[in-house]
Amino acid sequence: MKDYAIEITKLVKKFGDFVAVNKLDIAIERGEIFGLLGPNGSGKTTTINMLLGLLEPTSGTIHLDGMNVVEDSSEAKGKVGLVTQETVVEGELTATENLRLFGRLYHLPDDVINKRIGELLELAGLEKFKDNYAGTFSGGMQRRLSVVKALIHNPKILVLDEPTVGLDVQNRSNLWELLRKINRERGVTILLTTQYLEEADQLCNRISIINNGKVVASGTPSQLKQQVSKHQIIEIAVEKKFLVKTEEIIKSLYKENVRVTGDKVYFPATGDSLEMLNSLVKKLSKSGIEVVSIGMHQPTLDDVFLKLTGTSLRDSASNTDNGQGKDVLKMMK
Amino acid sequence: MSILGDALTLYAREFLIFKKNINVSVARSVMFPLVFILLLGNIGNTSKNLPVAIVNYDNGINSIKFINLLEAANIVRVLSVTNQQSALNMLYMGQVTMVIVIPPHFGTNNQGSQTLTTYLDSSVPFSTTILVNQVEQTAKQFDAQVLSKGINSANMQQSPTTSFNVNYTYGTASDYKDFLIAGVMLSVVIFGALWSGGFTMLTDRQLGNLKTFLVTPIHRFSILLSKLGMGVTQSTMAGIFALVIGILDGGHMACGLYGVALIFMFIVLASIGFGALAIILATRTSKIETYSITGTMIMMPMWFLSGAFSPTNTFPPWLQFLSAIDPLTYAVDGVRYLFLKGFIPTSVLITDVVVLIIFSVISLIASVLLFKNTIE
Ligand SMILES: Nc1ncnc2c1ncn2[C@@H]1O[C@H](COP(=O)(O)OP(=O)(O)OP(=O)(O)O)[C@@H](O)[C@H]1O
Ligand SMILES: [Mg+2]
Repeated sequence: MKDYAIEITKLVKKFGDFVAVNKLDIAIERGEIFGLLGPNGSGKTTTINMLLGLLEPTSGTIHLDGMNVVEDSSEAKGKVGLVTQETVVEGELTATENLRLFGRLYHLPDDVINKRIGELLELAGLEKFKDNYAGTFSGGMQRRLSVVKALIHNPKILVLDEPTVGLDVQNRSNLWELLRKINRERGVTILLTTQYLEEADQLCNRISIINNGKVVASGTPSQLKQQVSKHQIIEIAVEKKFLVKTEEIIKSLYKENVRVTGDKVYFPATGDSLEMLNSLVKKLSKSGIEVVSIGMHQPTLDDVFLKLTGTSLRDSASNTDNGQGKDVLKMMK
Repeated sequence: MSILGDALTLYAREFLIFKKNINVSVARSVMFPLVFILLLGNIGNTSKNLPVAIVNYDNGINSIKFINLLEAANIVRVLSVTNQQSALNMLYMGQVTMVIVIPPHFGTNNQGSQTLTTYLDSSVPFSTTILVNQVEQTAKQFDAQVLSKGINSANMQQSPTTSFNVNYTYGTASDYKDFLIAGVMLSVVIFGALWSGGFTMLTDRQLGNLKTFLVTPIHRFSILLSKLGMGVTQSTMAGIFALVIGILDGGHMACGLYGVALIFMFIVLASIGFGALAIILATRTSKIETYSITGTMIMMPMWFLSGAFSPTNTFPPWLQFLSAIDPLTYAVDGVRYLFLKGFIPTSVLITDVVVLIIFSVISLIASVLLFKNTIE
């Protein structure tokens, strides 16, 4: 048996009759950045809650650094730091006080706490703001503080639940940089959940895509993309009135995987894509259809998700850009 | 490390938050007692035309003078009643608030001093103060204007005086302010329980703080303890404010300084018991609205039934039963008892303490058990 940082075996969680997590198998090697990608309600947070011993699994086992989460719960807890879906820093406490609180809760001696506070604030780029109240920080700063807060006890594993929800592009890439640094310089294994394909693509060594509590695909981002097509994806934009006709024509030519979103028609190229494009444009203009734009892209994880589930991940994710909206709904039940 | 040590760490966190919001926290602790004691406690001072039955066994010129003096300030509305029994019946029926019995030979008694007998309905405590004051002043006026002139005082050691004794229908001599202070102190406790520990438990759950605490190696119980500790702190603080405001405003305590320690023991016990209740609610509900509405719906009846504002023995029997099963009643009763009567007889106090301890222990255990089963 291989020695994994995180090993999840046949994990099941039922809420009454509802199966939120369905026979999940994930094995994460040491030093990896692993992404759990899935739309709202796919069971990401439920999985993480079980991983940290906050929820009892209905069945299945979880090992963190070889420790069974249920049986050796307190040892397992010491191995892992958690950044929850909600940004959790205490606005009424300063950055230093935030970190000290958690140092104490992890029962570290005061001199160790003080040393780590210095290191971690530097890592987060917040040393200038150490005595400022966290409530005055920008969203990105708060998020970075909550990430380093989870490192106060030097865990081997860092778990982040949708760490970049609600951040702008700049802050998002700053956070990615911080996570890469933590992974590289401290050798911390990272498991993160996300609804953002781009995030999984940019940050993760390996990904599992989950939908309705089930893993639908696993692998490196490029492996997964190759599952869709080894070739480029062609996208053709036409005026709205021509959309249906365009789709018909393309479907008659290439039976496979034609889909329409907005004003664009997508389909995977086969063989020589340039030649395909040329003949297609000719055919369309013969039928009186004016092509607005035409392009090609490498297959994305969205294409993967679409192929696997028949729905677009982006559509289901974009309804609630902020995961908290969903959470509130859940709480109302 | 011990549960207590972790609880202290978390308490320190609560305290930092508390300190950061000190203005709001203090304002809340001060406003409640201030409003209730100053407004409600003094509201009776403006009362007019309080109905008083007079049983006049004298019917001489002096008793008429006395009655005229009594009516002069418009505070009292006099109803003449011919016999004492029917006057007392009126008192019990709530038709009058006071009965004054004027003895025969009023103002012509050569022995000098004379005594009026009065009966007061203490269930309307704020009028009792006014009425007692009014009778006292009238007696002084009467002494000055009538007695000292009408009687040959040459053969007397001192000038004659009119005094009166007061009989309370419900046994308690309650200045409403003194009566009220106990109620206000405990009101602060139950609403403090709802808005301090329980409330922050809910927001900690919602904001995810609780989750981050639960993944650390601390015991859950220490989280609970820190919340209760903060609730006790705030209740004690508010209790001190209530006490100080009440005393500055003219309230008095029968129990003296030692009694204050006991009063705060009641407050601590009650804030643990009700704090634990609020925490149970906070771990069961997910929305602030639900928590507020449910919490208020539970606490409000307890509040009214406890006799915080009016004596429970004036309630109809079915309400008296409800108030007897309301733990807050015993806290209010204990504190009020110390306030109005002091320590004796001790048996009443012991009952109050025992009931309160049982209640606090039960709700504490329940909160631990129920908290254990909640995730998030
Ligand atoms: N305590 C619970 N009781 C009942 N159902 C629950 C509970 N917690 C979660 N669920 C349900 O389980 C499913 C998975 O929820 P989960 O929070 O794990 O999703 P998620 O992938 O984290 O979604 P999001 O992106 O919105 O955070 C949802 O349908 C949710 O409604
Ligand atoms: Mg989630």
